[in-house]
Amino acid sequence: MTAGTATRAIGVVRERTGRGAAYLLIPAILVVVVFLLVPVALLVARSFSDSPAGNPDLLPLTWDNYGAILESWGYYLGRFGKTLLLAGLGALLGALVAYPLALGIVSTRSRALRFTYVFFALTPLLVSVVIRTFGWQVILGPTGPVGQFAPGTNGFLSSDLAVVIGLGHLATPFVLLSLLPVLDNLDHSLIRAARGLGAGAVRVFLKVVLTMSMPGLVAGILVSFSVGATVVVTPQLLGGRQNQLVPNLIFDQMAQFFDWNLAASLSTLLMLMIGVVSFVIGLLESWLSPLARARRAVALSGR
Amino acid sequence: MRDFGDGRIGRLLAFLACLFLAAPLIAVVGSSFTSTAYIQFPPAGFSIEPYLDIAAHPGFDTSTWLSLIIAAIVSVATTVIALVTARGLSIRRRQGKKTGLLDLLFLLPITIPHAVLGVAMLQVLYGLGLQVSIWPLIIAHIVVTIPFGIRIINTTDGGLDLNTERAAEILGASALEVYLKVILPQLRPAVVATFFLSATLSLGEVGASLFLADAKTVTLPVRMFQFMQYQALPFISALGTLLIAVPLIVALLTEKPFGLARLFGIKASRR
Repeated sequence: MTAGTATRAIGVVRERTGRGAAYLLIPAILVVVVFLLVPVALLVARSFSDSPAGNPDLLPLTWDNYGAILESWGYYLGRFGKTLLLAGLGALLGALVAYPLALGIVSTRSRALRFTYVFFALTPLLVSVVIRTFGWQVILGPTGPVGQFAPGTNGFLSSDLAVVIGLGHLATPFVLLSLLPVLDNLDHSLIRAARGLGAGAVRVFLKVVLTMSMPGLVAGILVSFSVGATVVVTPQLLGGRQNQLVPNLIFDQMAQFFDWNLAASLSTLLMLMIGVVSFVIGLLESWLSPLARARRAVALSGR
Repeated sequence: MRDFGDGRIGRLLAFLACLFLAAPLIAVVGSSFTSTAYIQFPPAGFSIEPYLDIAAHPGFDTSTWLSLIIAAIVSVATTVIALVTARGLSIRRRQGKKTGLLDLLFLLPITIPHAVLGVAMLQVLYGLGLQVSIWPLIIAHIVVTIPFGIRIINTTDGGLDLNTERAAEILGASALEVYLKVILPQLRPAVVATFFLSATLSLGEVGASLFLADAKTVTLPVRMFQFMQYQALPFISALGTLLIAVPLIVALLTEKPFGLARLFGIKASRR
């Protein structure tokens, strides 16, 4: 029977491809585990060690590095607080820029406009953060088109504002990365239904579009937050030496003072804090967002 | 979404967003033509002196070669690994197995800071008794670019029509033949996009490279960063302009046929 042969043939496809599947995933898994996870795990281990820089023997483990940070806790609290705050503001600025652009990309009727939007959305990924930060240095610097109106002698440079602008620029493509697929898949009949029931544009945006895209938006903001809180170049060039954030402290410990243990502890603390903040925000989003509440209500009534 | 978001206000806000994204690039390009000895934007006068001045600064030439060699190796390696991985993920998905955990694992390099990766790799390197060389930079760049590559190729590979493979298989093609003659040609646009993006990301990477730089392994963006920490000179803008122009022109020319936009899970010109 032909149908039977075909089914068996498909079965062969499934079977053959089935054996190969796991083995195809090995290279990427190896790269991530061996070259990322293992080194990072060793870094965390080093944060509990007092062996000198470059020495692979990390034992015995101690709390001394964290003790040293705790000793000058006032200083470090300020640095960590500022790092997280500026990274958060940068991520929000990135979201503010990314949203209308993403909305434009998925909604415009004009092919040319869509192409233009996508192209601009891609530019930050194609140009090194060093060059982009240099561009902001030029714009915000004392002779730049914006910086010349600043009250001080250094334009808007060496300020928190400059750092937030730089981090916002850094954040935009990461927000787009997780926001665009969500907006692209949004169910259009919802918008038409809201319109039909008499909702204005603002209301449609707030109650339907923003609500439905919230998971993508929050995910994008969290990635940008984590990128922004760990970038060395942006605060170094735009924030000034006396205004150092934690990534700069880590860089100085590694490159100037060769205190790898302190650098490891600061890195571990930073990752931990980013993780905690992201977890809490993710949790809040899944509890408080109208979309999640509606889903829970549906699940309850379905039972 | 045609009913929403393309109004006058929507377009104005999208335009402002584009302006914000382009502003620093415009400033770099603009200031590269200044005739002043210091950075000036808008440029004072017009001169190509900054471009000629690039050669007068030692180290930038060797760094350029280093960065190009690294980018060449990284783009090939990342593309190959991404192709293999995307295939594996597609097959698993077809078999009805979950890929959520794997997707998460392959996204991890985006969320773990580049600087932390650099510090961690340096520590492992010294722990193994090795010196800093070009290889740790290549490996770090592969780690950093892999999530983007997998993402681009996966969106295409996952959407392929299974029937073409079935047809080839029933007609007697081996698994390798099916992949090379049926699947790979369909992935060509995604492969080009991945190759180009990973080369560009590698060329621009500083976060990890900064920590893996000793006298001989200073990549171009790291060299620029080290220089501009102390001095902002027009030749930096000139160099920056070259590094902006080349990828943007390539992207502009290849977006229609190949499409980096699939990185966002969309196509640049759909309707």
